[in-house]
Amino acid sequence: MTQPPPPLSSIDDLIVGHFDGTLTIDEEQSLATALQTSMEAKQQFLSYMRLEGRLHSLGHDGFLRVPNVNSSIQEEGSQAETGHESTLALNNHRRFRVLAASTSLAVCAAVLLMLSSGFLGTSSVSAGSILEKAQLAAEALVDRTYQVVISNTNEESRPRSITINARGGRQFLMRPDDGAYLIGNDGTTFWATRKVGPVWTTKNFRSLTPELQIRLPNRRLIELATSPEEPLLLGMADLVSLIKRRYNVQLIQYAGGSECHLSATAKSDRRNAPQTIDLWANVDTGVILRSKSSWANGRTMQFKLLESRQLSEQWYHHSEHASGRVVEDLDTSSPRP
Amino acid sequence: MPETPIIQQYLQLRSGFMGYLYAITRDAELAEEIYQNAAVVILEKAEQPETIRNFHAWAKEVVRRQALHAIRARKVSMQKTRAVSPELLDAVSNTFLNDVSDASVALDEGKALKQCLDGLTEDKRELVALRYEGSRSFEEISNQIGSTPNAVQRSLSRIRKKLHSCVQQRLQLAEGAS
Repeated sequence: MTQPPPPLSSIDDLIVGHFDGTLTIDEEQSLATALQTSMEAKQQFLSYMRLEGRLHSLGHDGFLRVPNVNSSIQEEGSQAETGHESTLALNNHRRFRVLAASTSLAVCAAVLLMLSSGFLGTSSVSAGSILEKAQLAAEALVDRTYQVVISNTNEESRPRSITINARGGRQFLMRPDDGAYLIGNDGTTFWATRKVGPVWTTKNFRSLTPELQIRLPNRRLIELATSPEEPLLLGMADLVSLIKRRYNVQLIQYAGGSECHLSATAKSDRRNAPQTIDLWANVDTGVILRSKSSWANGRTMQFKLLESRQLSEQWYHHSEHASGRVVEDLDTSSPRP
Repeated sequence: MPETPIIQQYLQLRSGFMGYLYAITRDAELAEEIYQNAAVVILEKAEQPETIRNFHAWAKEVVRRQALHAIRARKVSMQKTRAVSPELLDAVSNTFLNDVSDASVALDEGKALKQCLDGLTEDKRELVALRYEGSRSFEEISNQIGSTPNAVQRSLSRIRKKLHSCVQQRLQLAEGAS
């Protein structure tokens, strides 16, 4: 027998509890019954649902805090009020979000550089000398394969695992464990493709219109990988410079074995930057074996060197992984914004 | 119908879709991923626009299917997570699919929400930001602000009810004034 829907004040509690994930099985049943039988409950749920979606969107785009940090943020925040919420959000918030995330990703990129360049020597582990060596080694054309695991703060979020091949500072291939897409750069052209469908190429992702950008898989990762400001794998000299300015690097542990532990600590609190970056290096070769970047909110990003093995010359070109597919050059198929 | 209007329509419906996706996944990252995947499907299908009679209804169905596909995939990869019960999942999806609200309602709610957010005290607004910026758990927030998870959850529950009530009141006032 169907239970009568609870009074509307309880509906509010059930709806909010549902979004918080705190309902019991019986309470979920009550909410389901209410949604099946009460038009008022449906309307209430829909309005809460839109509220929840909008709060997530605003939070995702960095607009929930009081906009007093700087004028550019404030300006973009005010644009979001005009009613063209989503379009403007995707056009403008992206730029802000990427800028806001620049420090953290730059640091991660620098970690990857350190992993790839094998910059540590047994004779010197001071921050300055390490980073000088890292800059010199940045362009070494050595193929390295890493596993990168990104864990978010939400306990229910799945950790993301991506395998990355990288050669020097400019060529890379990223592949998530589920194989849903491939993102690469052959040194001159950025490309992306899914399991089926065309290969999209561009030399300048960031100048594409949103309509074209949204075609590409995992747009957030692509934004990072293609940005000249905070590339995941590119522009290493600038990234190392950033580490030099904003982090203290010290030797934490070395008891004579083959591995030592270094820790880089942020000189000041920056909400979007990792607080600490831990590195474990082989003291004989100087190659960093793994690293862990930790943010204040509990988010972590871990790099693990899987192997150093020479890959084919064409490995970073899309033809090596998606041969026979239609290639769509986004730079010539769209009007510029 | 040209391509640009269709994707713009989709972008303008973002809040409603994200709300639905979060309601059935309770995972902001996954919701965002599904939203993007649905965008790709919509762009591909939109090449035959003559087959789309009601874009909103059609896009909702695309989003729902993408979501169910993602939820099934998550069940395989995350056995420990308690998913939304099937009956509630169906009820939420049916409510979403049968929603006939005009798109202008969502826009008006968006404007009202901004004003209501501005009316929050600084600490309450910070709490909202902590929750929604990085999808932090109540435990993580409580650790950060020196409180307990239950207290954080209760506070956020009250704040959202207050925001919801504020939005509805503003909409009613605007309706009365027009």
